[in-house]
Amino acid sequence: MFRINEKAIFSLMLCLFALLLLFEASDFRERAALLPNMIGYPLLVGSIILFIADIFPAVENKFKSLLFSGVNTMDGTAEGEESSLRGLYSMMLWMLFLLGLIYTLGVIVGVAVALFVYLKFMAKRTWLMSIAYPVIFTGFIYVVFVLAMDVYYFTSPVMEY
Amino acid sequence: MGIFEVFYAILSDYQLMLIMVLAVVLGLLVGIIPGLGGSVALALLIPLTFSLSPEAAIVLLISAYGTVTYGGGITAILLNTPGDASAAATTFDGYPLAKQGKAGQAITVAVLASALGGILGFVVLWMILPAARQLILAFTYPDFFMLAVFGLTVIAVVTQGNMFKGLVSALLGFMLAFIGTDPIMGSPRFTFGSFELWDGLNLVPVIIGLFALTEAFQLFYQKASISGHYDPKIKGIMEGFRVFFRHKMLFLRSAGMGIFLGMIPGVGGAVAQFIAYGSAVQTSKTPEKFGKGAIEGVLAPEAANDSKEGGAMLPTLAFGIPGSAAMAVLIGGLIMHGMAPGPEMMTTSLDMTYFIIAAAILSKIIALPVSLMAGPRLAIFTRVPGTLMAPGIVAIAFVGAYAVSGSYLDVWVAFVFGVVGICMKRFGFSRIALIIALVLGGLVEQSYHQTISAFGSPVAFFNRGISLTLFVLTLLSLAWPWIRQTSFIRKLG
Repeated sequence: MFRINEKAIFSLMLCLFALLLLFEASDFRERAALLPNMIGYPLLVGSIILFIADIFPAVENKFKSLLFSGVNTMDGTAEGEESSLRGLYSMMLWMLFLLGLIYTLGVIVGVAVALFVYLKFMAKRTWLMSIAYPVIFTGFIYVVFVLAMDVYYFTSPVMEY
Repeated sequence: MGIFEVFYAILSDYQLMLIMVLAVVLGLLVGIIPGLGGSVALALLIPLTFSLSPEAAIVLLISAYGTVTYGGGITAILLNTPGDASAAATTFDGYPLAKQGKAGQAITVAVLASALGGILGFVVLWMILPAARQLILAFTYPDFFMLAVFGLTVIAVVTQGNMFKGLVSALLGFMLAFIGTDPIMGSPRFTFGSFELWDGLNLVPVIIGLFALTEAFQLFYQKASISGHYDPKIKGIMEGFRVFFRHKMLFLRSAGMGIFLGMIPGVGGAVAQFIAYGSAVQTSKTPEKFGKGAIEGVLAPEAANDSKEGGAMLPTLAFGIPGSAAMAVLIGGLIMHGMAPGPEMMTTSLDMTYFIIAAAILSKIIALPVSLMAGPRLAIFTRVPGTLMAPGIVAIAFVGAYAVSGSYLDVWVAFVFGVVGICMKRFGFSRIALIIALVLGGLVEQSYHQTISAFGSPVAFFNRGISLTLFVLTLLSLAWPWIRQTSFIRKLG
């Protein structure tokens, strides 16, 4: 039995990241590469084990009690939390949209526009809420960061050129 | 400068006192909102401190962090919803008391226990600093290396039940710590052609991503508000004072447990709370009342939860080893203001250590009346749906990441680590292990190379008393989960 799910993709990304760093480390001088290699190879092996366990449920079940039992950790992490993937991806897309707006319009305008889009079109709030929330929120950011803390670089990196 | 002079210096500076009061209210608010614990409060507040003096920044961070637990206790009592895991035990008896019309008494006892427990924790920390100072002065390079390795394994191991993924998370954090210039030749490593990465990953955006953004994702799923109906006008405050002082021995015992457990890296507030609660049940003359509205069931966990902060500061400040996510975030904040948690805080920066202790104690005192007056009213914020809070937290997190140094790369770093954080949370990896490895990675590598340069060979790690002891402790902590599971231990038990 073979499966590909998000967990397996995350483990695969870990493997690839470890491989990339180890490949980079092969160009370093011997002493500079020593600890990255000492840590990087166990990371690679560990992530490969996780990837194998993720794509072959039989392997995961066999070693579950030893390696993968899903008891909550101290940071509240728990495997298999029920959550809406659609919600997750739409939130991520909105965050990317916000990043783009900060880059093109600057922090203050970018945040205001992104909040409006979120409230009006994603959360389906009223016009009043969709306008009042961004205005008050960005007003707060302007007062705290620009006026009180003298942050001068909240303009768009693009518009500076 | 002694600690009493530091007290005077803070009290006589109206700006610091104003910051402290504001931070207390902010901390209370963050504590009241479920899901946003001390680490998130610190992650969001650190960017606000970058234009402040180190003293003002410490006052802001320590005061807000120290008050988060107060807010968590208040919602645990009023709404049966702990602000974070460390207030969970308070719900057992706090909510039944509220249903009996004794919310005021329960909140007074919880806030008193939190305040006095927290103060006691920091007083004990101040008293044991000289001994810690003597110990830290005996440390050399191999000892620091082993200490950092020990700190890492303890944190990975306490990711209970998921040790393997905890270790993988720590290894990932370690590799991320190597980004920047190498400590021997000073040449760039893992920077992928970016000059902005020559100084390594900026800790603040990483922390913002891993903690604040990840929790914002969590809030986003929470479509409805969590609050039920409650009465924000509380009565029975004087009765609460009387009840608290009637149980002073239970308070002292619970606070003592909290302080001791706090010193052990990785033992969180939740563990301290439940152990104190269990002890209160065992020693009570009326154990049958617990779970139905016993005031001791509120007092004991709250005292332990706050007193553990003083204990947790010891490994954080003296050795630079964060025992929890919040302490790792705090280290990030201190580093941003030019402080180096570790031996320096016990020697050249001892004044700053006293300042942290004094600020923590004063903020606990200020938080007492503020929590009693404003806490129940601020609980109205739990009526705001998560879908409205989430975008605000994301926006302030991005703004904060950008504000730290004006680098657009930092905003991307926060986003990437936000996505990594949510994946880690969903798939059972440990964000704490990652962040602690990221914090300690530099110390490990530096002290390793210093040892080899100074002593000539890795034998130096094993022929000194301190490093050998730490090595044995490292092996023991790694083996402990398996030892615990063996039939031998079960038979002994």
